[in-house]
Amino acid sequence: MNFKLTNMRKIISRLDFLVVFALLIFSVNQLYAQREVSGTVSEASTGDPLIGATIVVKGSSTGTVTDLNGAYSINVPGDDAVLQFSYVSYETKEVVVGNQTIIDVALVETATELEDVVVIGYGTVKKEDLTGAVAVVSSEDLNRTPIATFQKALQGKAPGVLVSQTSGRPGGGTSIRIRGIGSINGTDGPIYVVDGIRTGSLNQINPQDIESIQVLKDASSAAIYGNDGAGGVVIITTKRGQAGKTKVHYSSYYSMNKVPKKIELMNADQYADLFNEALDSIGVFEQAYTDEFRQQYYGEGWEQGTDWQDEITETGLAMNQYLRVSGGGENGNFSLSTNYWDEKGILLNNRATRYNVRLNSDFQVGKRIKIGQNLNITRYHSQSGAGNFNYTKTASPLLRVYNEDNKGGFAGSWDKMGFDANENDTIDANEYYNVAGRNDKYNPRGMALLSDNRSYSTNILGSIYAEVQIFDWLKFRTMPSVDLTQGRSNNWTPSYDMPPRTVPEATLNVNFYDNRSLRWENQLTFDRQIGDHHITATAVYDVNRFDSNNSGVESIGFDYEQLPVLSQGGSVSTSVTGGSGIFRSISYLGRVIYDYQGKYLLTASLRRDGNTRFAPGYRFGNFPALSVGWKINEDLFPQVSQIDMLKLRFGWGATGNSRIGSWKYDDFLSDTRVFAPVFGEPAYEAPGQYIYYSFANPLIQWESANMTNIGIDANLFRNKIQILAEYYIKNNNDMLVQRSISGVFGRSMDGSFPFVNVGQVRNKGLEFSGSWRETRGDFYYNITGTFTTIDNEVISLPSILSSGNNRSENGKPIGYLYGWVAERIITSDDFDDEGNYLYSEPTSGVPSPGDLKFSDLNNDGVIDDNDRTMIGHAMPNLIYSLTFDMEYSGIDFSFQFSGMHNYDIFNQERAQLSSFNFQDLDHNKLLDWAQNHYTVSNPSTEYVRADLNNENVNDRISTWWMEDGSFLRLRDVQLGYSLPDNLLTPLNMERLRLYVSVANGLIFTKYTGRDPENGAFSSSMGSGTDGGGYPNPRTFTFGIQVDF
Amino acid sequence: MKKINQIFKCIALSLLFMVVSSSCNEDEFMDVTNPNVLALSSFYKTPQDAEFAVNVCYTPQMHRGLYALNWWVLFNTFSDRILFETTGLDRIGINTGDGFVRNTFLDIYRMLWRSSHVIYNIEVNQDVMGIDDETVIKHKAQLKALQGFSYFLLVSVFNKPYFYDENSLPEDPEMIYGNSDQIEFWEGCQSSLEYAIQYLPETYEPANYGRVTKGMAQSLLGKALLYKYYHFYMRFEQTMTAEAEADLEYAKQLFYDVIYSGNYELSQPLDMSSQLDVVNAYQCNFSYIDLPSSDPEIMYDSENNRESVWEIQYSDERLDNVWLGGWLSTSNLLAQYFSGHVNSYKNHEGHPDLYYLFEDATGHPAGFEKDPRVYGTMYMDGDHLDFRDNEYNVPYATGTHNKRIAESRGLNRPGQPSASFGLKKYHYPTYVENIAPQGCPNNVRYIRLSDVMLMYAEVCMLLGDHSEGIIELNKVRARVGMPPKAAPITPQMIMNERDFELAFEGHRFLDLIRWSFDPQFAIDWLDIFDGDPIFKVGKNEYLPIPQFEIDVNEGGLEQNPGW
Repeated sequence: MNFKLTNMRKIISRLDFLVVFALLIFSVNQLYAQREVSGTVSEASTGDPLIGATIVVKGSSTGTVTDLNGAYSINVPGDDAVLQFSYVSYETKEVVVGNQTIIDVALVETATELEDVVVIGYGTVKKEDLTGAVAVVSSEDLNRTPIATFQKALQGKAPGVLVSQTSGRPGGGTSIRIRGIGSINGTDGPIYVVDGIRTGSLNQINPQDIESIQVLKDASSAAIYGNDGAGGVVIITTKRGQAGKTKVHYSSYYSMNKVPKKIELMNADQYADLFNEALDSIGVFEQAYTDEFRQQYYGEGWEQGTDWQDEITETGLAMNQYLRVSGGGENGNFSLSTNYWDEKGILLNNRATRYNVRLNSDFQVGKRIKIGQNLNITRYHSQSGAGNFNYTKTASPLLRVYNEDNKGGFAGSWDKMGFDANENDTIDANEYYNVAGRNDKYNPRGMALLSDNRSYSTNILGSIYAEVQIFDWLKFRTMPSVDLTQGRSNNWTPSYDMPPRTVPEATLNVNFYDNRSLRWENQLTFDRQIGDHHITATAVYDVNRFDSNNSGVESIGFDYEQLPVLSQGGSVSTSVTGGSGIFRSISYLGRVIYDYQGKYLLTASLRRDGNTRFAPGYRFGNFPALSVGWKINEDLFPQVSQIDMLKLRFGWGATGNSRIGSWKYDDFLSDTRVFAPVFGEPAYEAPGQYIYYSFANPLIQWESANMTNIGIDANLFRNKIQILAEYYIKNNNDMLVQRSISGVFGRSMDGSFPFVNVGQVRNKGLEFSGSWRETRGDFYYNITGTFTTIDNEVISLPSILSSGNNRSENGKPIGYLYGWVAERIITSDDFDDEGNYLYSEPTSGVPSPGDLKFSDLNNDGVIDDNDRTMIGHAMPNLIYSLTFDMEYSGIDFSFQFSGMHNYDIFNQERAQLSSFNFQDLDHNKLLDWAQNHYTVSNPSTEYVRADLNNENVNDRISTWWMEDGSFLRLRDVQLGYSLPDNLLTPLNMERLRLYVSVANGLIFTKYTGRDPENGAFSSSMGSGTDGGGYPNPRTFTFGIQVDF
Repeated sequence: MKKINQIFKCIALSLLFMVVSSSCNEDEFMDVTNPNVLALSSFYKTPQDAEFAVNVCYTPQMHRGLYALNWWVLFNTFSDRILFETTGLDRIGINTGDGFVRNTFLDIYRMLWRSSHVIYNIEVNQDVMGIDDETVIKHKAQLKALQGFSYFLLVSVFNKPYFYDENSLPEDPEMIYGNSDQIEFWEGCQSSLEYAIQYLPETYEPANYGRVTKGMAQSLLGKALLYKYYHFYMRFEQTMTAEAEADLEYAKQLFYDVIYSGNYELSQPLDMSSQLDVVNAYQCNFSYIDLPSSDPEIMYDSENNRESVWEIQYSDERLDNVWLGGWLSTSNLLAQYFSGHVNSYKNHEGHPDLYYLFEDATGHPAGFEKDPRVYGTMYMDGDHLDFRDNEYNVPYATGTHNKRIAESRGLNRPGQPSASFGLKKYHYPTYVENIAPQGCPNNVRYIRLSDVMLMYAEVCMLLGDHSEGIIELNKVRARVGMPPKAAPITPQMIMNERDFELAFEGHRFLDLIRWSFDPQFAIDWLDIFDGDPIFKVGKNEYLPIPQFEIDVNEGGLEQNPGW
């Protein structure tokens, strides 16, 4: 029989458009029959028929699958034939046919999680035999909640993996750190391997296609990826077809993204009051804020003015559609899926969409050769304006939103009013008048809507493999793969007037890029049980060539702005840029996995990697690793039945990091325009060519990390309780640090200093994960808790590294926050009778009552840069999560809490909104501060004075603005309902689940900013400052999942 | 048998794969070169390479660390004649970690490193490039002048940082680059500029305006010797020594040679009785475009006119629609930061006191109330931002465009002719271009003839040659129709004349510092800053060495006193 055709007909009758899938029909050779055997396959515990179970005549290509009633029939060659019965997640059973004609089989569900297989890179290992630190996130975890990116799926799921959402932008802003911060130069994140192919194109990955994610956390497991494994390895395995009936899965969700928190700023009345008072106090010119003027300018609603937060935010709608068809038989399987995801952000004109098609298949060609492929094609698109949450704070509420007289239609803070604040109708009607006081900032809504910045990328990630089973114990596998990304960005800014902020000429900036990574991996695997000894040995040879090209055109000046294409532009200027990138690598790898009696486990590997980021002679690095495990319960207390497994693990390994950019080993010359001097009348730019500002170091080599890891895994009470505890010490040695060089070299610019292998950083910590899962009849529940501690210290650096508010130096955590200590608010008591200030003065001059009193830490009588000290940790010491799931007769409920503890945030947004700042031209402020700030009559101890000149620089980074960032967040809560079988069967459905969920629903924190994850952990030297980024939206979702 | 065959085939197939895949030669595969840019090892091969390298040495002076921005942010702002929009900077509110200071330090060293490195490489690679001795000398003369310029800037602004030349180039990033003696800089400056003077041409054809000429090198050496008198002899020895006198005689000769070279002349008004002519003849020295005279046929030459001695060139071409100025750019930020232009706020305002200091001009042929230079220096209410019929021809200070810094600080005087005094130099008329005012193309006149004449007068005063000096001082006054002064020259005359003639041109603060080393000038900083203890004697004479340098050199480099 041809099971494929029958199943296809069913599908086609259900879903017409699946006609295209007919291409996937596999023709199965009919074999001549000798004798027919039939029967049913059922589920052992319940007796329910198993639909789509596979029955194969062992050693032949003959096979079939069970029908809807679990029945099958198959032709067997003779009495000595052996039938193999298999079904996903059930134990395979073999039956000798003998003289039977009816064989009924009951399959037993694979007993425990221990049988799960973990992907460890270039192979798999049974979970119970694992010796390294590998965290696994399964498809169940991934598919239950609606997630747009796979990074979010990792959040709170795996101990030791810190995932933070640094921005609420659609599809963006996730930072992943595995076991702390390892490198100072900002490129120490994990590497990603999708179906065996290393890739950097993360937007392409549709989380619903993922079967499982494994995170290789320790060096003993990550060393297998040698070169860049120091930050950990995230291995993603996508779904493949399973032998059995063809399955159709459809899921869909719709979400609403809501602004989580609004900041209470001043309205127009309050704003006018504050600035009239402030300007009065320094005797400054005419009142710009008289009621008459405001009313005449603004019109209706003038008392409230414009709430810019409302003007630039909206409820962002998101939707996702996913369809997957999969199936297979004894000779092959396939999985074909497609996805469309579209999300709008809470900021106007912010959107991301992704659509992809994935096809994975495997074919058995003859007895010893297997061929298969993975192909994923993704189109990703994102869109944004020039909008920014910061503009809502700097813009004046006095400003109107629109002004039709202005090109672009938005009001600017200068307007041709024909009247001014004092004497109406005294001003020339063509003269600009500042309607927003002295405020000259951008119209936030105009900024959000006028520009149109889009980026598009198409990624093709594909591989073909052939696997040759040379002997039963020796397998050869070869896999060429390609990772292609072509992209374009199209940034359009029309000309507009928002006086004084005007753009006189439209600009179109178009950039194209084309990245191509070709890889060829060859692998030989030896796998043999010899008595009590089981050996798996792997040898791999892998080469990679990467080439990229980019080109860009900037065209300024468009006579017809309704035609925003390059050919219409350039009336002012057109400039072109472009370049290429090249990268090559070669890797050799060997690994032995050995166990004795299944209880003494050993894994040893050695990888040798070479790549062209380093100078010839320094290109190759060796990365060894060793790990051992011992299932002590089997030796020490085999009789204790409550202990299913108790395993001790120890691992050590070395990994590397080469991600420092290319060509750092050579002095290169600039292009002739970079240094263009000017000569002549008329003045022209003359060509000049010389060494870049960068300073090369030909001696740089791999950054290496070695990690020691001790862990214990325990499964208790028939695997109801699973505990994993681990302690690690990760030493990043020879860390590539940009060594600051003296300015006498005449080249130095921060950021382009030479890299030298000198730094050393240590991360250590404890990871714990414990879960309890139980099934009682219809009731299933699972509670999982995890926590991770991170202790991070710089062991040695050649010199102190500073960047913005962050600093790294020996003996302190990487990138700690560095600033002044503010003791309190200065009062009039801090001055003597002659009015002399009694304490150390800041370099900017004598402070006044209401300013912050900074500590003179070095007691030199002056408050200056040297009085800064460590005032905060930018990294949490503790991250934790608690997940709960349950199912009861079709109802499922789950929630996840996760939190971070003990880290500090410089709430720069609050600092800026609760004081005046450098070049602060009447920016909006927090209402609370505006009404309660320090004055002579209100000597506040909490709020600094309103000093337009900000002489004391009260808003500088100091303890005054530091806050505890610790939080506990209800990341996700979800309620689902699956229809019972009796309703599904008439619809030919296997499952129909409806659910609602809320993401970021609740947060418990003392932090007063919008979101304690904003601005956190974006880079090792740039974390801990919250300037008021894009907050994570609160998302409400309704979804449906259907299986046919 | 069939099974064995199959296995054999599999082995053969696998081996084939292995052989094919590993047959690629490792070295060949890994042999890559940067496809985007050239490497230094492939440079200095052609005559053009030398030219391009020489050109590059001119860029630091026009960068943001120097005359595109920081020179003005620091030295104009620090002076008592300028108010900055927020307090702090105009109270010399910088510290050792200040970015302006560091960028200035870096740009001066870029000029030193490039000029020295290029001298070295041109000499070493002369044969490879195939250039003759004459060409080497031509290049080297320009490079030596720029090298001398960097020595002068380093010693007069940063006191005593690290000294090197083409024979002692820094190479090792791990080395400590500590302090050098001031005398090394002064002597290095002198010998570099003397080489330049010997070989530089007196003039260039228009396409090469901006390259160093003999006159530029002479003026700069004269200026350096004058500064050395104060910063070295007076600071350390407090008395006129024979060496000091010889240096001043040398400076006097250099200034004289420039003034009487025939290559330079003051821009003279066409008609001394016309206010337009008197102001524009002076104002054209700061203008981007030529200015009108009373004769419709005749315009006053602006950029690269005959009064200009050392002029830093900024491009008339447009680069990118980006924030121009600074590195990667060929325009300055004068208009962006300091002008009273239409399109944004200015950061600088003139101190009202300066207005009142300008001499009365009762009886001036053109009927000015005050020294005409005040009208070429300051924007006042009623002024227009352009003289042509264009969108920038709008009144200055229409009210809310300007922050009125003086007014907000209570510095205005009753009856003051203008609510605020804007900086007119370099900003009149407003540069009319699409991207105005971000990328300002206006050249910076670092040294102009009237400065040389006043320096000559100053040297003469120091040497007691009053009658020679007063002639040049009076020429500067006569150009704007101001009556002559009588000998002897007094320090106050020099101070006043430089204050008026060179107001807002970035000289005042540095002038005050050098004079403060000589007791006869009786500089009282408390008095200069209206009783406000802004200037700390013994500290603010020099900028701090950037903290970054102190840190990098791990205790081997001393901070300047007081910082």
